[in-house]
Amino acid sequence: MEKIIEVKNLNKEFTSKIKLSGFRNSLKALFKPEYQQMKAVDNISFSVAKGEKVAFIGPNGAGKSTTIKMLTGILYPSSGEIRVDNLVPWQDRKKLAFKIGTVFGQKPQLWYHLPAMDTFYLFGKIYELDQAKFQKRLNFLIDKFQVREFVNQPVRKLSLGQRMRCEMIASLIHQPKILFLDEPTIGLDVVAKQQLREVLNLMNKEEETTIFITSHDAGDLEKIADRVIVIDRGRVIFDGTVKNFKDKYAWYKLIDLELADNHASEKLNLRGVKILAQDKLSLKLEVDIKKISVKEVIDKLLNIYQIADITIAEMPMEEIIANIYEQNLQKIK
Amino acid sequence: MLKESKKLISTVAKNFDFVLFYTKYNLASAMEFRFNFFSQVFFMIINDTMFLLLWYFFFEHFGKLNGFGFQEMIAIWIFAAGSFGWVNAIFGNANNLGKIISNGGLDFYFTFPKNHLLHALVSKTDLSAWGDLIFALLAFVLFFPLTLYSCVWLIVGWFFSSLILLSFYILVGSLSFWLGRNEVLHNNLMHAFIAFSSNPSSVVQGFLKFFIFFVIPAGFATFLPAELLQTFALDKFIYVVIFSIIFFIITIFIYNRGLKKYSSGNLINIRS
Repeated sequence: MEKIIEVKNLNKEFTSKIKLSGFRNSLKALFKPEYQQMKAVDNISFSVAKGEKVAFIGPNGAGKSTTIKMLTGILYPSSGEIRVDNLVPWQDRKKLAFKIGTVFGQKPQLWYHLPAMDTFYLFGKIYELDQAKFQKRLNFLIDKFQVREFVNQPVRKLSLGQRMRCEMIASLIHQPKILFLDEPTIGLDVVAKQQLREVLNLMNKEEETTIFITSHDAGDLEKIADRVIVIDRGRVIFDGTVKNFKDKYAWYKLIDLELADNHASEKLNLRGVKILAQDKLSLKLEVDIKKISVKEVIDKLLNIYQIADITIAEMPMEEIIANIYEQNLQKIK
Repeated sequence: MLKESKKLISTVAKNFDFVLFYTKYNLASAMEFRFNFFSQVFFMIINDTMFLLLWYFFFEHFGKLNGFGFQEMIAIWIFAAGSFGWVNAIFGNANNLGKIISNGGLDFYFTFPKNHLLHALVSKTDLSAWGDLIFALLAFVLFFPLTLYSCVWLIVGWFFSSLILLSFYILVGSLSFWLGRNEVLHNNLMHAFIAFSSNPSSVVQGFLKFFIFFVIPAGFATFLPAELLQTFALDKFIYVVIFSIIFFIITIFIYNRGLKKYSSGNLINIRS
């Protein structure tokens, strides 16, 4: 498969000021500031194929935004190589801008007091689009994102979900090959998130747009990405499919049992199995799959209970991510 | 050579179109709030008129200063208010450039296929600057004969005068690459420029003259263009043209040097 992003041994260091607490240290820092080198990105390598949907996740301060900024040409690396559609981002910034779209959830690009339509026209001008092609593209996106009824209202009067859809149109107006999204669903309600994910998948399917997304939302990862890269303190600690990600980091499964008879008096005592809830006709269990297999547990359960129904659920993605982040915090402490 | 010239002309034309488009939409955005729009423009015209009235009473009472009278003062204000108006109306972010740099705000402009500095400068308009511009135009129409020369020089003079002011804004804003947040220094330098460029030039002598021409280049931005509005002098015209172009080139060079120190919006500050 054609590689559209290639990153080799990428490093980024920042010089940061060290200031100890207290007035005395503030005074000292004023006249004799001390600096230290901070490694934000530490020797990372990965590649992304054309049309792939990659979630780039990690706890706060892991180096996600710094990496995205280097991929989009905003920052230049301390060392290492990046090629985005065969361009070196910080050297070919203008050429690259025609090929990429960016959506930063916390940095809106729409004109606040004007209708979103005006920003689209401005972007058409910025990307030097032919008038007829621009109009065709705009109509296509307006229909796909279902924004026609509010696209002529001032942006300040739109809901966050409506605004984000318009932000997406602004980023896609020049038909970029790659879309970089930094926390695009932040602050959105469930319906707005769902709509946004649907159109992202649609754009990926119809136009083969490569999607590179950072998010703390497990739903984004599950509903959009087909591959996950986890970054922790500047280093890639996982790179693989969503399924492999779950296999590696999910340490339990949930078993829900509906019982045919009252078995409240039966005691279940299995190593690695925790009872989360129990009443006369139901039982909810958490199975530590590192200690015992689900098959073993079910065999045991069948021996003890009369089972009417059984449901096995994966560890929720949100919890997997929270777990990784917590481990990271503990390491820091 | 011909191909390169064509490319250059095409780039200039595209950027001109881009600036025009942005200005139009900046104005449209500002017009969303009618009272704010009209009041800012109107009160700036009143503000400038009051200053000029003060000078009128000053010269009525004390007479000319080394041959410098009310008419000369109007000429100075046509270029001081005019250049300030043009720059802040079209490049409304010029005054915020330092803040944009120190806050990592250039990130946004890097992701577009336009010159990021031009894009950052034009992405805002200062409404009161339109008042300055209207005032300068009214002052010219009311107090100067509308000859072909005066009209042409008004446009040419405004261009070079604005180029010097814009370059000064970029230069002062670029200090943020090295100094970080420096609002006080920024404000003092800009106030000095405006103060020096809107006062009688005849009282400026010796070291102060050197200072006003080569350190805070208000002299080239307003004194000489104002003198040229009254009488054409080839030497003064050449000084203005050469200085404004060289000053602009130096400023862009310094800005690009500073850009290497730009550290984006990742403000890392460790408290240990």
